[in-house]
Amino acid sequence: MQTAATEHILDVYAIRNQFPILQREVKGRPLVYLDNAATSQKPEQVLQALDRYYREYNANIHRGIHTLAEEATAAFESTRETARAFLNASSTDEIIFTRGTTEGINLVASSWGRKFLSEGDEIIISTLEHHSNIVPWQMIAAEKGARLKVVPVTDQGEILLDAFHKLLSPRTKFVSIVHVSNALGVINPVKEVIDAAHAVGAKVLVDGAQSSVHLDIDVRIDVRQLNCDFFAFSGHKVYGPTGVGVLYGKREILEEMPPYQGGGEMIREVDFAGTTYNELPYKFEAGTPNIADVVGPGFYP
Amino acid sequence: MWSALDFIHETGKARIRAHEDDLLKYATDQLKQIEGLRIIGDIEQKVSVISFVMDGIHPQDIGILLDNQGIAVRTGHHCTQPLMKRLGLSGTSRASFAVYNTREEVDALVKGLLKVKKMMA
Repeated sequence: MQTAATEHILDVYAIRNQFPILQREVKGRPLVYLDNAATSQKPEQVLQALDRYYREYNANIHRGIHTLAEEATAAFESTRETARAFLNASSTDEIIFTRGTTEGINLVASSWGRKFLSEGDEIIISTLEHHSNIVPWQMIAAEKGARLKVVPVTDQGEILLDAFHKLLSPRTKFVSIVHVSNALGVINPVKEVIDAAHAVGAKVLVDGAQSSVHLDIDVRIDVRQLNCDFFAFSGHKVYGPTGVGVLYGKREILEEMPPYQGGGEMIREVDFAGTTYNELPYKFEAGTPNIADVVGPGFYP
Repeated sequence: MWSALDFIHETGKARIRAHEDDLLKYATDQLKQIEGLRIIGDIEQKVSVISFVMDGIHPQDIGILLDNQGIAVRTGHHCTQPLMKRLGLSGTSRASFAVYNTREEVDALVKGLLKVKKMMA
């Protein structure tokens, strides 16, 4: 049987049994789901975690002293540690929960860009970018009078590194690049991009929406090894729920950035005369977060 | 999301990648046998995503006719309109593989595409 070739790698049929949706039919045929780059299906343990959260643990997190609030907070903060380990970040202070990759990029473009970009500055992206790594930069560039430069690609979608190096200059303030192209699947040489950008003093964001679920062997997802300044990914592409994602940012850079949204949780003290902001990572997490989609069964008390 | 990261950790990222790479190679070889089908992004350094176009057949038709056979692929510009413009394409069809996909499903895709070709001929 043709499947024998992969049996030594993993038991794909046992794994399939963990994904209830794969049992359904479409148009009278067994579903063949090959749209994983758009969103992955969810295993039983993810479905159960969602159900269990609302049945047994639902409470608003932080500042609560009752048992449910403390348990929900512990579960929420434990997931931050899991996400830290997933990316090999230095500290949970560098892990910000978002709605997904798109919000992570918007947060950086809006907050970092508002403070650090000025007229004549340049932002570099590549031709491979998803709209979510183009439009936020166009928006902040228009606001600040900055310019967007685009790294060209070959007919097979490989970025032209020579052209990238030529685009770099002291005017380059930010480079935002996709790790793995969602449209073509090609892996970008982000390490070289990051090192070259740093050499001219630019900051770098890696869009990890596609890479976070695939890469490990040849290119590790390791934000310290990559030395990227920001890394964004989405939960729903890594077998998790929609509506939740992670933005990693280096602590010293996040510290200097102004808040993205204002509201509860992101403040230290509010007074009509002026407000002081919370410490990392809460400074960037205004409002009640998507607790149910963040937490999982492993950390319930 | 904790449980999703735990699922990946338990299954093992290296094993997931090896399985996906096997599917990628198997599917790439199979799809290349189809006359008039061209893979975009056919390079070594890539993950288990295959974007392709077929001579004379609009990606949307491919998507609809595959769906009729129970096969879900994505068609269109994949939220990368400037890239499509650079490549001179209105869009592609994209099959992307995960840890739970099988070689039988690749076979179903190939069979499905051959049927699409016959219908659109």
